[in-house]
Amino acid sequence: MFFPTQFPWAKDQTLGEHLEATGVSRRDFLEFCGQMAVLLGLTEMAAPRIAAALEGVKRPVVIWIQLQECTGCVESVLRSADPSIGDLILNIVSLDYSHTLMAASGTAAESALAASMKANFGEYLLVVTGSVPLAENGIYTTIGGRTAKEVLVEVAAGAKAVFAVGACAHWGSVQAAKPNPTGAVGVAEIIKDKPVVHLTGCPPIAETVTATLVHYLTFGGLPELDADGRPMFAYGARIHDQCPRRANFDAGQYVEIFDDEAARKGWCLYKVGCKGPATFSPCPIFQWNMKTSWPIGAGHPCIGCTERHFWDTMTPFYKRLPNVAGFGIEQTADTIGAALAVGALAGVAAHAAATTVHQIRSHRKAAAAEGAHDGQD
Amino acid sequence: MAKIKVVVDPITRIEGHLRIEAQAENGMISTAWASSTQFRGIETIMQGRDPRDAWAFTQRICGVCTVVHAVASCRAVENALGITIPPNATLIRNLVHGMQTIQDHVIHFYHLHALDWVDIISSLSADPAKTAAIAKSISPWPNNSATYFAEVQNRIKTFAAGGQLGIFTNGYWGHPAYQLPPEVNLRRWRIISRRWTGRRTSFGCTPSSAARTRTRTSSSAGWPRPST
Repeated sequence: MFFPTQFPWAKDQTLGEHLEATGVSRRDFLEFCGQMAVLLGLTEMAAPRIAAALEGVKRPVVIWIQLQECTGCVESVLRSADPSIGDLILNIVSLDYSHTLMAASGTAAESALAASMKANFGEYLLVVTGSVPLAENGIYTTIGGRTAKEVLVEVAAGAKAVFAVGACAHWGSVQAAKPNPTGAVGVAEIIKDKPVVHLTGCPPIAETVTATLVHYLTFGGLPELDADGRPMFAYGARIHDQCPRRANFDAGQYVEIFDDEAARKGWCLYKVGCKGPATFSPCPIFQWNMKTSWPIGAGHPCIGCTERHFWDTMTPFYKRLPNVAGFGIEQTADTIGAALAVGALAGVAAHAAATTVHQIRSHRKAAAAEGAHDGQD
Repeated sequence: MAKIKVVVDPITRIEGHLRIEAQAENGMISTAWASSTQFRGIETIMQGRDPRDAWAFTQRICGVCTVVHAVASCRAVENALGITIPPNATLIRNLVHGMQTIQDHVIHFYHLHALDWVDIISSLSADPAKTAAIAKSISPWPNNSATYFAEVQNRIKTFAAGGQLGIFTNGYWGHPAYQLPPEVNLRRWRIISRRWTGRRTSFGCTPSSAARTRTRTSSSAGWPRPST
């Protein structure tokens, strides 16, 4: 993250001065601002404004706490690489505390946290990965002898805003799957008096974090959020509606098993369990690992990891979602597919389907309320 | 001599949360305890689920070594159901495992473990010429020169003088068991920082490394000059 030999960013230096000293050309910086404007759903016209604001930004202080989690989100965010200046920004924010990256341990680590909180009280940005286990008075995750809840409440007190990164910080993710033995909940269940943005996913795409951070630094606030606290620019559209295999879905061309001819041809994965029709995520557009690929692009169905309770509502992962509408001109295929699905599913799965359909509806309602979903479905 | 008990919690630069308690008598550690201070109950959560989904749940045990957990889970399911996978599937799994090993080595060795024995502050007193000589004796890298290492050292100086040590605050370097000469620290530090920025480039598909080279070499012209 903080690469001193490469990019020392002095405290009173602006980002523009810092990038210049680092040898980043202004052209690359403006290109980056243009890309950010597009990612944020603004027009390219906003790029100069982003550039002007970002250039003058002083080094922000970020405290990153890891509660009940697997470190996968840190790994994902570390792989933010394209746009490369976004990587720089993420890398050089003053990361005063991070379990995965810091040199110190034990009381030395905890005193570094206390010192940074004191020096930057009310100013720092808090990034949280991981959930908060509440069962048995919170004993299922302790750090320095204190429960995850105690740590979160204390650190959040001086934070300007909270970035809840990943599905765990959003709603608890895998440990909150039934029967949720540790009573895991998301950050927003505990922190009610601060703006909390959900950069969800298991893990989230690094660029959603970069772009939200850029928005925060540029406009001094969080981007427009959906009903679940997720930024609209990233989580405003369904995977199904952005999917390059959508044409195959509409034409009734499906993969039936993973090694058939249709799989080789890259047809639609709906019948082998793709949850794209019920999942709001920027995966098809942002993609992963420097736009190398993404799950559906690699031939695996979407598991719906940006949606609440997906471990229960989207499983079994390899069973299809029932009642997916929208075949358009190929009405017959839809009817047959839906009938088969209803016949094949029972009990839990039917409940799950109802939940996901409900989720889609509530997202649509939220989207309609925001007036940003013209032309969908 | 009295018994001394030392508690180190949290242990950083690992996945998850760890607490170590050690008891020392007569200057020697006589007994120690390690506790994992995080529990999620994934075994309980897995019960009654579709076995085909097991890999995705168990993979979330650790976000650093995800592949290992996923493959182990697939094998467990196959053993239970008496499934033999075709040779091509084994090859694909081996390739994925190989990639995980390479990627994990970079993370573990350079990113997580190195800060235990590479002392950034000690490298300030290194002699750049000696550092270059040591570097030349082990690697043919063209930048192994006194000028280059002096520049690296200068950057560390600027950084340390700024007083903003970030994640390096309160590092407890300098234990005799780990001590390296300043020159070796400087060289190792240069490698670590390169690995850190380059760790995503393990697999050669890196628009970003190209972008970095480009931005480094291109001039910084075009930035507005403050009117003086």
